[in-house]
Amino acid sequence: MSHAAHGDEFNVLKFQYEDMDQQNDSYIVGMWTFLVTEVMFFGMLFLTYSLYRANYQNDWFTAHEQLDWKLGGINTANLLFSSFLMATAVRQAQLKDRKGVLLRLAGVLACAFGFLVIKYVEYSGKYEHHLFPGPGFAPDVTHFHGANLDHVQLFFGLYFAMTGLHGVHVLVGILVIGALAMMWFKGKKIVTEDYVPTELVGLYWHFVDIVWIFLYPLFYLMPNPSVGSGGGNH
Amino acid sequence: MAKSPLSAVHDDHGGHHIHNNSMYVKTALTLAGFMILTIAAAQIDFGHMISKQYGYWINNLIAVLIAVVKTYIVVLYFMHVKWASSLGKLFALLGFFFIPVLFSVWTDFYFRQHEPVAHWYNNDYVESATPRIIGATDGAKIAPGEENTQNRIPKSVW
Repeated sequence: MSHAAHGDEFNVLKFQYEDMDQQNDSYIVGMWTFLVTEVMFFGMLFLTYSLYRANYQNDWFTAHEQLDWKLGGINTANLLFSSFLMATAVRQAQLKDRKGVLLRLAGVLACAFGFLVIKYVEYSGKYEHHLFPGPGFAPDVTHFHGANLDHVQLFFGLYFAMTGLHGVHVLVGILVIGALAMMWFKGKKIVTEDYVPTELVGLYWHFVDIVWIFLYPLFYLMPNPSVGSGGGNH
Repeated sequence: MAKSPLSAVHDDHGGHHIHNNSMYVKTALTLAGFMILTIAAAQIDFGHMISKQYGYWINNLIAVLIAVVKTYIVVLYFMHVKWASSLGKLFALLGFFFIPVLFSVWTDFYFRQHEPVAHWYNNDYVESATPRIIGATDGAKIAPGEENTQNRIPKSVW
């Protein structure tokens, strides 16, 4: 508490740690503990996805044709680039290069906004075609080549749930990165004197990227089950 | 980086590595390469190339394996786990360790089809305790003596 009174002491060794390495390590392990819970959070949805996908291969393939793999691909590249910017922002933070950090964080924010804009375009298209699951679910049957519409609804249910939860994480990322950028802009010593806060935000952002690395092939790039194996759910 | 509490030697590099920009550029380019590989692999039908029966699963396996490799690269280089302490590495591994544990639920999904429930020791048990197929025949009445196939997992899945 007496430290708080001084106000300006950041990146100093707290009494319970042996050295700075150990102190920084404990922050990073703490962040990873949070990320472990996030992995399990998304993991449960991926498990649900795998069970239904295995059961309804053909119908899910038909449903997945409604998604635009090019828009998904642009967003994949977008998140990859933002991850790269975030990683280099952490590097500039280690070098205490305020301008460099701010430039890169601005780039990350631009990418994150771009991601949400593309997601909005995709979502609104699905909504207009009545593909949002629930009472309003009324797709044009001719687009689904005789697929069971209950299975199609399940597909879009998981599509909206999983990409939606990911989208919420992008939104939270924008808020957190925005707050971090603001602290850098104001020259707050908690970020300028110590790279760890920037590193922790970076870890979160890379995790958001990792989730999309799995979402993209699973939702946008399904192989056709009826071409090769003749397998399916009929 | 892991140090014994008894260690008297302290390195004085400020407690963290500062990597060259080239490391981040190489990582990003590798990830971009794998991204293109994912899209390319999805265009190829391995069902015709390798195995008619398992081709669809090979396609899925390749897509997921590429995603796993990409994750490994992001975790190792962008998230600096390669240079983390043993404790940091353990916690980074922990989350991904729980994914296969979670997916062990699949064994229940597989074995449930063999579960005898209604009349355990008679021949007329139903195939599964829980309905698996929601479709046209769901809830339809079964005539006496007719086999109940409603709750069966289609063989094609396996």
